[in-house]
Amino acid sequence: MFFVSGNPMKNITKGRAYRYYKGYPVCTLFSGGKDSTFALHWAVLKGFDVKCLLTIKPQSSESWMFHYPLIELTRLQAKSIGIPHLYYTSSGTKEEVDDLYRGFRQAIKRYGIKGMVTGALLSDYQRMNINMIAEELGLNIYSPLWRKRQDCYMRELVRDGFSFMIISISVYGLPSKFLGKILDNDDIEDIIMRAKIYGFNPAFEGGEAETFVVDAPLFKKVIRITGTPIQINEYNWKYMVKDAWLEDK
Amino acid sequence: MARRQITLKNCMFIVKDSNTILEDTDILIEDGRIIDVQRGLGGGEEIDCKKYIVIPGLVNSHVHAYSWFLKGISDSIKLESFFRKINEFSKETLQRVIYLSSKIAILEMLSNGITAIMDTGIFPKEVLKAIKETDIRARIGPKVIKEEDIEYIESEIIDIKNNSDQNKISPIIGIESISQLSEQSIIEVFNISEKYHVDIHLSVSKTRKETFMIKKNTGLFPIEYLNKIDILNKKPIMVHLGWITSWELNMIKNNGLSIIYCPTYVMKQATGGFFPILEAIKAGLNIALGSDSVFGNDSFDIFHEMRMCVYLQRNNYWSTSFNGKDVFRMATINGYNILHERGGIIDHGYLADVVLLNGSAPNLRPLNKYNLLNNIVYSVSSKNVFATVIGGKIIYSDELIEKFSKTDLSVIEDFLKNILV
Repeated sequence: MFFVSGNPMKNITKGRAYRYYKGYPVCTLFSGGKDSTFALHWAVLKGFDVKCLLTIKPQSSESWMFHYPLIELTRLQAKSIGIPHLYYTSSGTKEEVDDLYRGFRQAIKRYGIKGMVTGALLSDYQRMNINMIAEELGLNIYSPLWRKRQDCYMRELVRDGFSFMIISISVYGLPSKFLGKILDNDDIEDIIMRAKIYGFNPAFEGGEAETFVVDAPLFKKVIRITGTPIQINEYNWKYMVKDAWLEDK
Repeated sequence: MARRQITLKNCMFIVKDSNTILEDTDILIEDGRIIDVQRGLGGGEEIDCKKYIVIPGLVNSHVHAYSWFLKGISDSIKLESFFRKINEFSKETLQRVIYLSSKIAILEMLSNGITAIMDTGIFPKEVLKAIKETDIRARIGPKVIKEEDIEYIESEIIDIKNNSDQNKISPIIGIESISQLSEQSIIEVFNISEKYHVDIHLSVSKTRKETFMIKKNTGLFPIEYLNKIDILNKKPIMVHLGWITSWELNMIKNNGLSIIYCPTYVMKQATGGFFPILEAIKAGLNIALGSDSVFGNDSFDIFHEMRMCVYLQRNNYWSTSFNGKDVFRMATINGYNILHERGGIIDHGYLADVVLLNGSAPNLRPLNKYNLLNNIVYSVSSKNVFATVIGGKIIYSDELIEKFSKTDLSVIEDFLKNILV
């Protein structure tokens, strides 16, 4: 009774039902770390139609030295997820907001997006600047992680099947043993405890550490990475990537 | 002159404050204030409260009573064309509509256990008339929407001062949005407020668009801008704050400002902001609750508002740490703090603004000392309000409903017919 002969999509692809079926067109601001990957995950679960990922490669000298190879790896992640990837290099001379503005405009032009999904946790500088650009361009902003309880969030990540590693450390109290290691439940508990003792944010909102996601529920292939930790100064460590490739799950 | 005494005898429960619940206790009220709360009291008129729960009166800290006639239709009309149509009516008709609107809105609020309101809007004279007739505690005044409104506010404040009982009613000024006003005008309004010692209720960072406009015009976020032009140290009452940043919250903290939050309004208007209530509480700020206008809220009900506040904030944070006690304080004592009155607690020396709830109502069962406060926050409806007492006087009870049903609303009905066609 409920089955219709022929292509059932034919009827519902007209009018309102069409828009509902396709989902709300959005873009995810994507840096390859846990927060933006989780925001993407949330958007897909929400029923949004994630049209593209937007990555902007920073160009300050420090970022250039160390983020360069890793932000490049967002290409691998995008390939694994199978969503078109808009990748821009920051002009470096102007403010970050100008780069974002240009990126947002491209996403609208190419994919007709109506909203932007971000992994902003607690930085009002990030959230409000993004929102001010969005207001000008008429986009809605979704920041699913905004002000959520950060220790719960860290536990949830591992529980939900996110495999991620720490690729840089810049805080006292977080040992270098975490560098390049895929974090498990015990590591997360250890980090939450250390965050309490040493007074840093358990989800690294203040830039205490940066993460890179190698596998997540939406990844069709897993990313393999080899590299070595290097020490910059007393509490400052980076993970230098030598090689990275995709492998079947 | 003989002192006027009332005793609320054998109250089933008394919610003294958010942390203290008393059972089977009496309240002695004299000349509008609570004199004593303990067992074995008596004197004056004695009311048997065996069946009633007595709680402190609720404060609707941000409301526009005049907008009541739009109830239930604000979704289906375009505001611009609506206001254009309104201007076609004579001033007399509008005044009549606003007077009736305000009166019924206030009756509704009394029936919802609201003992005090802070109301700003158009034709404050008419609203004042309604307030005086209904006898609710109020702060009332004009609202500045555009530059032209400023020239009237001084005379309106003087008018309210001269025509009201200073204990119960006094003037305030509302500012709709600073994005519509020049720096000069904002300062002018604050100068008037200082001259007459009245508070300013300042609606800020309500929508993203408003925040964007201010950032675009001044290069600063709204509170940063107010800080720069030396407005924050003049102690305005901040309303909404859905789109503020953490450093702006810090500025509010440094100036010790009070905040009014209207959860239903921001949800219904889909403003999409996030008022960081846990951070504001942690900063020790005085936060009260308001219903705002009918444009974004179809009932002026602080019980409902308490519930919405908890639901929205828990959903926002993915955390249950914001609780019934926090929001009960917001609805009671924090509101009285903004009124500059000693109220919102049932104790010696506090205003006798209390609400009697029907303790045998099925929707409050089971009922005991331990679940009482949460039942009030999550389950009470206006149907449970037996009486609303303001300054030791029963202002609302069942009799008022009869009076209410006899009010002639045909002016409003005709008015709406003409607008909605």
